[in-house]
Amino acid sequence: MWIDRMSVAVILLAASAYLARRVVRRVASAFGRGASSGACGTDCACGNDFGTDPRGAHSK
Amino acid sequence: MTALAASGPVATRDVVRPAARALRVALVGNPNCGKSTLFNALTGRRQRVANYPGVTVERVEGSYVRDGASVTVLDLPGTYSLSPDSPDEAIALDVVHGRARGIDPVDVMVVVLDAENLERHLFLATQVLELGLPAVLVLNRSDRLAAAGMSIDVVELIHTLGAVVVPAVATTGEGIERLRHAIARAVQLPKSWMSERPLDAAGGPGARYRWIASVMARTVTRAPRTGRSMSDRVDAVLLHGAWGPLIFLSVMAIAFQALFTVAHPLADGMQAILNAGAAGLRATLPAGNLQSLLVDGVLGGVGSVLVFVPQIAILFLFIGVLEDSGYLARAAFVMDRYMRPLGLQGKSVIPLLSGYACAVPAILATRTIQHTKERLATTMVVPLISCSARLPVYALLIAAFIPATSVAGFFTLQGIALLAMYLLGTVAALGSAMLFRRTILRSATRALIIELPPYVLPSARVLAATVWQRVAVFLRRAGTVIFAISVLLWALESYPRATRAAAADVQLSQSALGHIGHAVEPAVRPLGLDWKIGVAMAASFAAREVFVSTMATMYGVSRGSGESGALAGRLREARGADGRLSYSRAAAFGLLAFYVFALMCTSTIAVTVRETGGGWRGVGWAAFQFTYMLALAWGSAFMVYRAGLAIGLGGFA
Repeated sequence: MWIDRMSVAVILLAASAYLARRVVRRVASAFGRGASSGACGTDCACGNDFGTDPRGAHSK
Repeated sequence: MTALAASGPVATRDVVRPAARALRVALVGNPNCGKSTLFNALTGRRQRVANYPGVTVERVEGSYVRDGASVTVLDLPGTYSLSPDSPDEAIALDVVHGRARGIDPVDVMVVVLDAENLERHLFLATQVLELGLPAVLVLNRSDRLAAAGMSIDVVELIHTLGAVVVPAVATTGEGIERLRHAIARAVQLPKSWMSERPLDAAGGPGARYRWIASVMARTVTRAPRTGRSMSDRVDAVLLHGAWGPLIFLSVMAIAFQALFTVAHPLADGMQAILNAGAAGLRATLPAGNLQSLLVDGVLGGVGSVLVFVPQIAILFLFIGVLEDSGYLARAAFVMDRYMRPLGLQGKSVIPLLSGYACAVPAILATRTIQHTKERLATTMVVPLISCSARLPVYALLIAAFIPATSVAGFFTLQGIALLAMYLLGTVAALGSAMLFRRTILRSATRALIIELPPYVLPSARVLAATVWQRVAVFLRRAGTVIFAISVLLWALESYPRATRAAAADVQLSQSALGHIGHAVEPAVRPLGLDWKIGVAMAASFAAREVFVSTMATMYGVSRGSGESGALAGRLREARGADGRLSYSRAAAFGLLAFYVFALMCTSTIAVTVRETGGGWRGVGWAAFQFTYMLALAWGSAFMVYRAGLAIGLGGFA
């Protein structure tokens, strides 16, 4: 029984951490800091292969 | 054909480049000359390409290895000259002049010329050659010359310009190896004579045009034209004042109907796979929290969104065909006629049309607009255009509340309703733009100057790559953000536990999600909606598709087997505690209106902040955009609901 609860707790924690990190990255990206791979965190549907441009190819 | 000879007055070049650093190459050229296609051919990357000017608005880097040495390639936005008109051109020119922040200077300029329009493209090429940087000129699309009745004497062109010229066809990869060779040798070759004797300095501003005309006379031969070309004849119909818009609307109607008709069997197949997955999990895992999380939360939530993959693929296939055939630029031209009186500049058309795929690149595309107020007005209204993330919400609600009654053969009420959603968004965008341009963003409106690209039969390979790329983005969203939100929503609806024997509805109502729902209910009650829809609407501020996954989780779609329309059926037949049906058609239409207008996309908000100046100024514009769209969404939903009640749609579907 405990393994059932533990698995659920781990998945919940991971999902929460992912969403929190996403919010932080989104805010940093909006202010032009931090995000290095896309104007918005790359999950828009624009289809651009922004890849991993280390020099901020997305800053104006 | 000799493509690597160079002549003219020789000046030795003293380029000192550390051996360890990769050779840096920049692709420059007029808009829509094929730079991004060439970039993809050189680097093997999949940068987005399409057949209209202004696709690339940022610099993008890629690389390839030749003879053991790495070569970095920069793809730049198109520019007509070395004096920038708009922010995207300024990006290109900063790199050309070595002024770009955080970017190492470029070693070789590759100037991409459209072979069919050589005269216009030589204007920028001669300006680049005058800079004295190592340069290679690419005669792209040289395969189209024969069909156009043209031929170019490449050797004469090389001698006249004093620069390397390589004929190539970026779409097929022809000439790419020769180009790589030319790039590797470019730093050792002498500069063009133009770097010593700039054309304007010699004879005033008209001198460049006169010189280019003389070059054209020497190097290009054209077969005499007989009558109007096929392209001209097609344009006469597509750009016609009355036929043009009518054809555009018909094309859209057919595409939206196909989203329902063609995608339906595919969606059923997808649902069958998901059902099998749910059955497998139930058989493998013991009944308990983990099984419920994976089956009801994850498969129910993510699966309900995955069912829409076929429709998303068809939508992007349609957009891809429009873009690559050259029709999109024509649609821009047709729309411009109606936009000018509204105060929007012609250049706003491309960002608005891009908005049908996604608002984020559409807002980036506003960089092609020179004037700040016009650019701001366009940015503010772009998210009103219905993007692909809205499609699952529209499709679900339309399937639930609008019958598939046939009208005029192929068309059904559902297809027409979907077309109406897209038209409503477009009209709202244009109307809001007019309002902004006459109030807070008032300035003169300029005419549209747009290059009409050649008609091309879209390449199946390029289309397939585009569709796959965009479907992959959708799948990634489903596998990350929608997955995570589905997990959290499952937890919120499963805890705190009601008594063991409580029915699913009682558990849901007493859960944390139920409490949140009852708290937001006063905001949606005037729209004829209940707390369950309120929760789904609130959750979808993270991503619109979450509306569908939340409803699927709450209505326990994974607990029943069935086809892809199972959730729509549950919504149609949902009943409240009093036994009455939960949702009337009037309320459902109001909800559709809400989703047409509401800004529920954190990516769009983030990119608006950045593109409107960043910092608190950007936050202010983004807050304004979010607020006016929310007010418009709620107000429209309310009015549609009340109007629906007034005309007797308060009954149930």
